Amino acid sequence: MRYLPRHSLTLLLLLCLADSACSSKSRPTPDSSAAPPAGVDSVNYTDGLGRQVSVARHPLRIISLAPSVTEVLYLLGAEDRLIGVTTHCDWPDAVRSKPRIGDLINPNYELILAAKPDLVIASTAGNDQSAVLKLAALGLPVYVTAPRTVERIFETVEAIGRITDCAARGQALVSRMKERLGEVGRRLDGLPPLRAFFITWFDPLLTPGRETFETSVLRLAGVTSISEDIDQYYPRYSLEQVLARDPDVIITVNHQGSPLPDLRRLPGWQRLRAVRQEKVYFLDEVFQHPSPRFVDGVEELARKLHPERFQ
Amino acid sequence: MNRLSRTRILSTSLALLAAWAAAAVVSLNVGSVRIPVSTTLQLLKSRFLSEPPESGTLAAILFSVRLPRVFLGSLVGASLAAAGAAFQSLLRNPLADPYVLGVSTGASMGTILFSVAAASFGFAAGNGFFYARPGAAFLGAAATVAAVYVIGGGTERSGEGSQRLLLAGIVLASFISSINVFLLTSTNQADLRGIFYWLIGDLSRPVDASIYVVTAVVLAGFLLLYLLSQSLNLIAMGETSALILGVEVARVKTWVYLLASLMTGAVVSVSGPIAYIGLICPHMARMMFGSDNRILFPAVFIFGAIFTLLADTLARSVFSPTELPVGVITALCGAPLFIYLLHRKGGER
Repeated sequence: MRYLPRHSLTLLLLLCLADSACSSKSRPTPDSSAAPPAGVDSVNYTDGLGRQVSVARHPLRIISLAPSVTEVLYLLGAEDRLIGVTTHCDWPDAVRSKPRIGDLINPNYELILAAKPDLVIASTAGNDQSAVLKLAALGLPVYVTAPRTVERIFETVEAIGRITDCAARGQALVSRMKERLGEVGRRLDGLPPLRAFFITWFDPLLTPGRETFETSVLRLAGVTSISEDIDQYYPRYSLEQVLARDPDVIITVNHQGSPLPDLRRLPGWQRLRAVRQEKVYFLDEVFQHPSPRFVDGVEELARKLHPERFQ
Repeated sequence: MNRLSRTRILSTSLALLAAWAAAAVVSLNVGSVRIPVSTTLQLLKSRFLSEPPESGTLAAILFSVRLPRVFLGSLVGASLAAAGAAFQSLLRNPLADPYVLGVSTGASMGTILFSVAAASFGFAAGNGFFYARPGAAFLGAAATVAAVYVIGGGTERSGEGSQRLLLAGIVLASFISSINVFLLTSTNQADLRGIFYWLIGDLSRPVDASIYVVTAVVLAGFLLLYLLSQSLNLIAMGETSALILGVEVARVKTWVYLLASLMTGAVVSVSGPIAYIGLICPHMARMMFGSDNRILFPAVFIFGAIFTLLADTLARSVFSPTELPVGVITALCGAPLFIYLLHRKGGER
């Protein structure tokens, strides 16, 4: 904004103040008060929650509220415009030098406001919705992504590309993901699906239900989850049912701080076919990332389940 | 005090034991996978009589999943209920229960500290440490019990001494809760979900060898409590008269306090804190069997087992194939019941 004459900058400031003052009166809903600074070229988008968000055409100060969003921004090459990330963002290594603006559940409102972002990107996978809406109510342009399923991840990647003015790169990223997933599908062609029990958490026993990211990602690796008939996100599952359904394989991810015990020594578990035949697979935690990196997880799983198809 | 014959204690206990056995059989037969009664009986017969026993999926469900859970539920319920009765009688306060005295928050602190340590020193990856968590919970509970005892000035003083103990428990519990929140907020949140579930109380986790120790502690603790029941009766009538009658008041109170705490800590370490059992089971048992501790202790011990067993049966079968934590059921049934009891009590005065 250096090219603006000094008095117009003052005017701009006044306009902004007037705008926020008006908006708090005339537009009481928190969603719609996210107005862009007057005078900046902006575009209207509909975000993953169906909210209308007005964002600068080429945002320069972006804050990410979730690791998956951060990962997409790096893959799009928009990282030099990223001015704040969460304490949970740990990929790629370079992200460790970015300023932290709080964690997934508790964004630090003061830090975020002080950073003067022109775009805040949140995710329904991880963020607390009321915290996100509060940021919007504070007048920030908050775009919420909803990467609940694989299809929605494609949409999310393209959307983040669009709102950060990297639309072409977003589309390229998505077609590359689809290509790699197609390659996995071709290699697994003709194989009957394996029935798997996916352990989200061991104690208590949590597993993904029908409408979850994990269930849809498992399908891409030729696996059907035995708990996909359940209409909850991550239900506590009954060990009796695992025994009764006796899955072909057991799949889990390596969580820091929550080890899976040796199932071969646990009463009940040791009777499972998958345990007796040593078909318990540990995946990298990237498998659960609702970002383009989940494709790595799909390839890893397919390779582990059917090594002969990947020689 | 009415005269209480041994026959009545014995017959009441036997009747309750029979009810417990019936509840256990029902619980064994109910679950998310349907096993017909005839199959259950046949499997039970084959388990104990034939060589080798049958080893199908249903047998695994019955003997590796349900049977341990029936046992664990009974043990936890019996122990919490008996400890609750002991605390209420000792502190002469109907609102006393194992948790008011800080035992559960102490156990939670042990668990959280262990998880934090496990995550930061990286020994979480090994299988050997998986069951160290109950041990940490027990240590946390024991440390808190000791601290409450010291801060509350022990049970030495007569009269207001018991109230001091209760107060010390409440104060320390809230102090430790804030330590817990601090620990949970300041560390990596990867393990949070597990701990939150643990805090509701849960009987679904696999049973390991530590269950033998817990069982021994509970049974021995209950036996000793029972031996002290008559002294506790006399103390309840007034400490001075109990002293005159030859009761070593201070020593009895210390023992009851330590035994009840130990029993609570032991079961909390395997099940997590399950709400309301220690509070309402003693009241319900008192309504049915009177407040003489000689009959109340055995009655509430078995009654607590039945209550918890049935609550857990509901918890694991209502929303099949998913499960509820048993603490949800005990609280759902317990809170309204308790409010009712409280009202009734208020009306009498």
